[in-house]
Amino acid sequence: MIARGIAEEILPLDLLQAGEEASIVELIGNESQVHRLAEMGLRVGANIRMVRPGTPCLLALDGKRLSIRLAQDLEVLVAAAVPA
Amino acid sequence: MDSTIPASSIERQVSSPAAKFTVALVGNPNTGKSTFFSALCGVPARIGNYPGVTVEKKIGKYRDSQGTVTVVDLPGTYSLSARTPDEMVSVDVLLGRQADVAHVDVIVAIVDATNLERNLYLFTQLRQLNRPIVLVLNMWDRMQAEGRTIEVDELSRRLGVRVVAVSASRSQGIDEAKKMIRQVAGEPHATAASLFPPILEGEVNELSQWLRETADIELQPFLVERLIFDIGGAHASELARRPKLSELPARLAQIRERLAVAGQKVPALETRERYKWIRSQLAGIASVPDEQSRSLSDRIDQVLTHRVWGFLMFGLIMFAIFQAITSGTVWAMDWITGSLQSWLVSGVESLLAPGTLRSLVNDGIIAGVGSVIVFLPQILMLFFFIGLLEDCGYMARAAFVMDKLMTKLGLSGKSFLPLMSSFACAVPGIMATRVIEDRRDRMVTILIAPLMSCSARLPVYVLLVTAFVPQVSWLGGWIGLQGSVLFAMHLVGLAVAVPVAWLLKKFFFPGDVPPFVMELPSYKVPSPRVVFYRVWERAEAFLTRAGTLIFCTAVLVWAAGYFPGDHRPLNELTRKIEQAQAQAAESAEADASTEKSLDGLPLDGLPLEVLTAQRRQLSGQLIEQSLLGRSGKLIEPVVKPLGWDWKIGVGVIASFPAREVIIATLGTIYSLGGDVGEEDEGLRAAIVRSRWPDGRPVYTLPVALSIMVFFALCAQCAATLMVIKRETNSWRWPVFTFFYMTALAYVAALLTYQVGTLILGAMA
Repeated sequence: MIARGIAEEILPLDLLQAGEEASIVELIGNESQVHRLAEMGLRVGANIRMVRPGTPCLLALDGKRLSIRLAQDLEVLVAAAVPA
Repeated sequence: MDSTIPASSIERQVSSPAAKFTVALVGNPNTGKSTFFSALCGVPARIGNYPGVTVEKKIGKYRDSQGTVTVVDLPGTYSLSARTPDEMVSVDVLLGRQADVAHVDVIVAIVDATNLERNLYLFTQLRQLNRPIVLVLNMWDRMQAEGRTIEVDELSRRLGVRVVAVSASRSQGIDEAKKMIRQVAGEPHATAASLFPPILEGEVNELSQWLRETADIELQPFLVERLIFDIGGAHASELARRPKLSELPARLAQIRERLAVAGQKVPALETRERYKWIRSQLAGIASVPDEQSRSLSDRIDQVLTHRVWGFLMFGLIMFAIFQAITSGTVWAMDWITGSLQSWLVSGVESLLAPGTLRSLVNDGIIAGVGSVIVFLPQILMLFFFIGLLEDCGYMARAAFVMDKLMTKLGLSGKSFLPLMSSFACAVPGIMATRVIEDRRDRMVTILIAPLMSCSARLPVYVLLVTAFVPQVSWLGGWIGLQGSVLFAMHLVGLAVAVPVAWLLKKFFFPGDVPPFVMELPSYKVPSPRVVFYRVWERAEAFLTRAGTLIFCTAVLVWAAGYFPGDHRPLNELTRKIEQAQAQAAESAEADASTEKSLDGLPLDGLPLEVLTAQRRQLSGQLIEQSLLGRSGKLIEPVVKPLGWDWKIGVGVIASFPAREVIIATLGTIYSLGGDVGEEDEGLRAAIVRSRWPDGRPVYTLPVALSIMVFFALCAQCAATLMVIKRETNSWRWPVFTFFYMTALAYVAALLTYQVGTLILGAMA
């Protein structure tokens, strides 16, 4: 991979690859589901690392491991540092 | 254990009326809350349910230097929101609104010291309840091992509560925590300042006033705030059902609208402000988690959560458990049946003359209840392994691996844990489905949970497997055929559950697959205490059941098998035999001859073996003429296609209230029917010897398999059906479960026997 500089890219959570770090930009979906995710720590501004991509995926968040499979009406957008 | 040391009488005199008080234990899942609870209280004094909901009510007690403290253990939760009726229970208990729980004097908030920031979220809600709080920083040892620090004194000053560092798994800091709880109980406490912008407080006040004026309802500010935060929450809908408050939902919508206009959108407002406050409180006094420290857990997870290896490992672990259950407990079983049971029977024989009372004790109670007790070692072993797997953190990994499969059925990994605990017992398994938020998913999980092979089926399998499956082993004795068959039997229910779940989801509860979010705790060495209590709890439940339900059925079955009938000739014969045996024993002692001469000894001109044969025949006639025998013959045509005789049929029917009863029933039937031998008492020997009238053995491998398959699938558990009724709040679903499972069991047992016999016939 040729790093031509670092930029931020907004993408859905499930597109992150193993080991990639990102921060959560937006949670979209049913309000009570979003509320629950936020209570578990998956909130706007939280930093995550993808441990094992897939469905469900495994995330590192605040030193904890969270397994997540999002549904069609629930989406998490993250900002990842990507080689531009 | 410090909690069981009785306080000295001097200390008791000092104690004031306030010596007794109640504390509530609250915390996130995976904070070691149950370890802390057992370190505080030992075995819970009372486990039950809160009325109307499915929340487990766990209450314990401990003594400190000044008196008794009652501990209410609330279910692990990430938030004190009130979106569902279940969640509302915790809020009600903490606010003293739950009628059947004493007023909570102290809140003990337990948090994981290695993950303070996220765990304190719940604390920010608890501090609004205006109760004294002790903050327990658990897993202190682990945090230290990670080379991190928390400045406890400064944290305590900033948060305005007492803070104690605890390592519950090592029982460190427990006494200090107790001391602190006692101190806090007597102290006045200041009202916590709000951490939300003033606009919210204004809305809360206004709404409180409206509730007071319109419906004369006085709610704590925390509850009013929750009405605003929890969109579509259970508490709001409950209030809105009151005639005067039908306007409430519209009012809440207006409030949220006004907040949104002011840039404070609900529900983001709540989480944002709480986390912001936490971060400011922790700034500079708690070091941030180091990602490297999880490396060991992560390395294990590389294998255990792998989509292929993880799956194989899960199968392997389960297989190993069932191998251990069969090979590790045979000696205990043999000891109970071989030594203990026959010792008891001969003890009774020497005390009681042949007659009704002796028959009741020996055939009804010892052969009935005793046959069930034999299986205590297996059940304890199963719960030992389940306890280990749960406490070390593996179960969450299994749910992660299984989620992929579960989504194919339209369920989620969330359903896996209740199903897994149904392998122990469907009753707690069904209650555990409350973690499933999606109603349709929860219903499907409840309806298939009874198919999981629970520990009450274990005795049936073990009895038949050890009697009819050859004792072959491979790999130097590490893998046995019996253990493998036992494992396979546990897969039968699981395999059948797959199409059942699919059909239910497709036709009864259609809908999208809900999202799945679950925390995977770090692996840890299981706490011996937690595992021990788990095993203890089940041993108690099993023995209680044997002493009550199974005891009663055994006596009823005995009575049905004993009456009506003239037992005098039989008693006379028995007396003769016993005399002969006593004489034989005497003469055997005299000339030190072997058992061989005993059988041939003439008495009344008849050898002993002729007398025993006569007795067996007479006993057989008596039981066939009894109430049990006659009704058994009546149902024999129904069970004959499954390969069963009337005795098995009666046993199966008697075991509909609880499946272990079959063991007791068969034990009594064979004991009454004279099928139990003289040397080897015990049910296993009796079923091996059992014959059809034409002399063919009743039990062949296909018959044993057909019985096992029937038990694997049939809904023979009144407790499970009752819990389904309670959880679904309708009679429709327990009735449905009963019929679908029983029909399935009959058809599957029929196929097993018929196909099995065909195969055996073709091989011969």
